[in-house]
Amino acid sequence: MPDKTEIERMGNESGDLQLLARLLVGLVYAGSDELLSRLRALGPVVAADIEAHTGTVPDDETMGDVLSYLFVGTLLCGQRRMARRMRRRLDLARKAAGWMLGGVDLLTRNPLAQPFRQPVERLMWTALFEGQQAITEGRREAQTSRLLAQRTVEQVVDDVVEAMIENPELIVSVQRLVRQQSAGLTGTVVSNTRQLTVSADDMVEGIVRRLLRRGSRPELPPVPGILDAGSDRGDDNGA
Amino acid sequence: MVRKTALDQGITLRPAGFVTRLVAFLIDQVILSAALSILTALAGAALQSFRLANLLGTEDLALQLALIAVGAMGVLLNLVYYTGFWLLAGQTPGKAFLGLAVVRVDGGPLRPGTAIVRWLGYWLSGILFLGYLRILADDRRQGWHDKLARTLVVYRGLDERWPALPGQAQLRWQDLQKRNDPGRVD
Repeated sequence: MPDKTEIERMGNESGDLQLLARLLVGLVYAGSDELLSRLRALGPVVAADIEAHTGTVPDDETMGDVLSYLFVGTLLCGQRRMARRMRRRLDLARKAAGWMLGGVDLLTRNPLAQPFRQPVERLMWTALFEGQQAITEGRREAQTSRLLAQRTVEQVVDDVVEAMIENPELIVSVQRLVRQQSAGLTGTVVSNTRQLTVSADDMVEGIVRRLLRRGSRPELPPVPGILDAGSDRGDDNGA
Repeated sequence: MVRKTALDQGITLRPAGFVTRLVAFLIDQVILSAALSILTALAGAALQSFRLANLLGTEDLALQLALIAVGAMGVLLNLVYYTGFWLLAGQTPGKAFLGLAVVRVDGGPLRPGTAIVRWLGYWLSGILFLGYLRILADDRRQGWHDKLARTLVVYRGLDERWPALPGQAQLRWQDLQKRNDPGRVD
């Protein structure tokens, strides 16, 4: 596993963008690891609970419940069957590819076929070599990203907790800020998008009408509500 | 009971332009595609578990039938989505996001027949997108489907005075035109 100095060296070499990409990859790895480990730990507990309740049909079971069980059962059984079938087909495809390559190999093992065989063979070896290199690189990158994300998250959490311990009023401010932001953010995004599209409407229309040599359109009423601000700009082209 | 119209409440209507409508349409298409993907996956799994291929004796036929079923399901979903939202809310989620509403040219809400004609008009307008591009050049910003169904797409904005249901939006386009341009003759 690469150490901290190696990560720093690599970061300086590759630039901030790659560091960010590594952080994202690392977060995905760390997040899915955490989730999977929890799911695996919960699996036996859930299975034991289900084992204990299997066969008991509740008295208040409705037709809707039965239909939903049928649907879920069908879905899960279908998924299992599909996976089995896919596995069989993949095996078959692998065998067929093996037979085909073997046949081609036999047919081209003669001096006449060498001029065709050699470039293809070279290409295949190059592809194999590059693929192997990519796998090695990927393995190293995955480990680096994981470590990078782990250290970054730890550091950020430490800093935040420290800051909150030092300034208790910060928690109240953050809570207030989050409450205000979540309420206002949606409205702002919607309003900005609408104003933007209203302006674009008139601009595009103005260009098209000029291209088609059509006269100006009869003046339209202003845009209602929150869009009024945007219509001031937009009406210039439409009029 | 005679309800107050949007016009009575001082709200003016402005037909929506091409870009706004295009963005709304794309949002609706994203929603529809997601819904269709989920439905297709569920239907595929269900068909697989019912061993349709074995019943029909050949997997190729099962695949063709599945493709036809998915296509039919897509068209049906499209019809239900658009006409349902137009009739129930006067706007689809995409249009709601951009503050648009669909009304008849006389300002009233869409009737089932109008909604279906408008939906069929979508397909007609889809021919080389000419029907949609018509919005750019039309004085009332109507596409072929709007002309066919005699509807308008208008900015509804976030004005809280706007009636909650399209049935209450009894606006007349002619009134609107006269109000904005008293000298205009239709």
